[in-house]
Amino acid sequence: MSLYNENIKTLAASLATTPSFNHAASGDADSQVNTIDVCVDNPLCGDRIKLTAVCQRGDIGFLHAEVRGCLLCQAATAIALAAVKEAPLSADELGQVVNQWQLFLQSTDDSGWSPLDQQAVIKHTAWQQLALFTPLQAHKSRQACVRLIFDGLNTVFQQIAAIETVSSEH
Amino acid sequence: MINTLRQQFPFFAAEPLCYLDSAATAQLPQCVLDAVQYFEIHDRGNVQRGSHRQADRASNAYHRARLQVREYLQASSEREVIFSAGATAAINGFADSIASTFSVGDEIVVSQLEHHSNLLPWTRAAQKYQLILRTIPADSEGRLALAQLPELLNTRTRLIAVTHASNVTGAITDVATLVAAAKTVSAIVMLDGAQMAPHGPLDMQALGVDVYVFSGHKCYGPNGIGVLWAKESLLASLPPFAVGGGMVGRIDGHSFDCLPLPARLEAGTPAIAQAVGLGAALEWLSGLDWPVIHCYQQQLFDRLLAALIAIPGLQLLGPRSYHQRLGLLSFTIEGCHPHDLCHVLAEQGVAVRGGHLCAQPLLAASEDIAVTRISLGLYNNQADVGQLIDALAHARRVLLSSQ
Repeated sequence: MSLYNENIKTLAASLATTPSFNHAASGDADSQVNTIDVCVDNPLCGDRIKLTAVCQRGDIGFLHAEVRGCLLCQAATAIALAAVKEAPLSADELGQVVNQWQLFLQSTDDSGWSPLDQQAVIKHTAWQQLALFTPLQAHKSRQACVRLIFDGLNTVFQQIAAIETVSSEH
Repeated sequence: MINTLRQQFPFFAAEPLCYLDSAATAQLPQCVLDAVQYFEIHDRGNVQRGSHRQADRASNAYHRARLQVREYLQASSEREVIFSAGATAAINGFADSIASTFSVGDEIVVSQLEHHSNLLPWTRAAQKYQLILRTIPADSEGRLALAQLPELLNTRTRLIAVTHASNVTGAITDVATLVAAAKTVSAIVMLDGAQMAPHGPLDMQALGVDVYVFSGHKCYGPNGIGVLWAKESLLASLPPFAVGGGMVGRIDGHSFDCLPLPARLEAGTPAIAQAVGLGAALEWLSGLDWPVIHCYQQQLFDRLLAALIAIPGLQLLGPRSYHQRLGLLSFTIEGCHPHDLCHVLAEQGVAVRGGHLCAQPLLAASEDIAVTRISLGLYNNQADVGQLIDALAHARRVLLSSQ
């Protein structure tokens, strides 16, 4: 499979038009809703993702992204947006996906990314599209392009945790 | 002649690659590989301190390398040639050392075209010693805007450290104008020659600068070696960059004195084999027919430039004529991120570089996050240029097809 296959290009092109879904707005009135803005950079290539996340009960329910980066970075971000659109995303679910994805990238198994048994992927089928990046196993220097959105989401969850810590202290 | 020259590089027999990234690292000619291998087999030992045969051989080989560098630079003395781990290491050592002799409030001038290696050492030195850093801007063609230099100089200006040729725009600095301006305030002039040094023998006397720095791996020599050249009187006045074995004369309690140049600025066991390889590379470069090479490189450049500027959405960084510039071209193509472009070109067997090229301030000024750079080496020929042009067309088809 070519890295720059039509599906990757279509995903990247969809980024500008992907509507975000606001799960947080339909939550219960007692839960605190936080809007978090983060910006992550890849210092080696200059790629940058700005994320706006609306979070409720520790989950990301709304996600908006502005990407200044390569096709791979755009396509990976589009997958993340699609995942959040399916259902609110928790830190644990993201952790599962990221861990599995890291292991897959490091492996020499060329059978492709197929984490269908993972709970996070059952809930967010969009992550299955990470299989499109299977050729990245052979291109270590480009893996950071896909990881950048994960770094951004992790930063969001770190900020959620910090807010919750402060809230619990008051 | 070029194809004969290309045959001297075993790389091209081993790897069928269109290599257009010599501004990052140049390939090694056979004579350099031979020199390094001969040293490691026959002459390996440590320099200076031994009385056995291997120590003598290593010392002689190392000394010969220094003479070869002196010859390449037309330096007055081999004592003016200091080996380092590379251009970055040389500038770091020199910057911290000389800045420590300046007074609070003294000024250093750099430029917007600098590679991070000739920017960050001065930025850090300015912070550490409370100096003022001023910046020469780049003009619209990617050259140093030297017309603005007089406004940046004053009686507190102690040093001007700029590139001899930009690794992004390819523009060659007008050294005569720079040196003339520096003389009006008695400022030291340092050139970062990392990009310029591979393009033929230099003449430090004619250039009129005080300090010159370059690296081995861009000069068809090994990695891990670089050169700091400076006028002997200046070098002799510098505090040692590092202290330890090899640079010290007598130690008396907690005080010590230093050996004469060049040893006083080369603490520790040097990279002897790498120096030997660099010496061989510079001797090899000195023996080439440079007028013929420059003429051929201009032909390649002109063909490349014509092909590039015909591409819709392509923005070129740097001068559009070959006059006073190197054979490297940096550009962006609307809709093609440089890393995507480089990746698809690599799949087509073409090696070019993409990214900020360690020149973030310059790219930030042009609002580019990254560029693609093509850089010609001595071994590149018309077939390489043709392959690149075809690969660029393919890459555009791949990357722009669904947009």
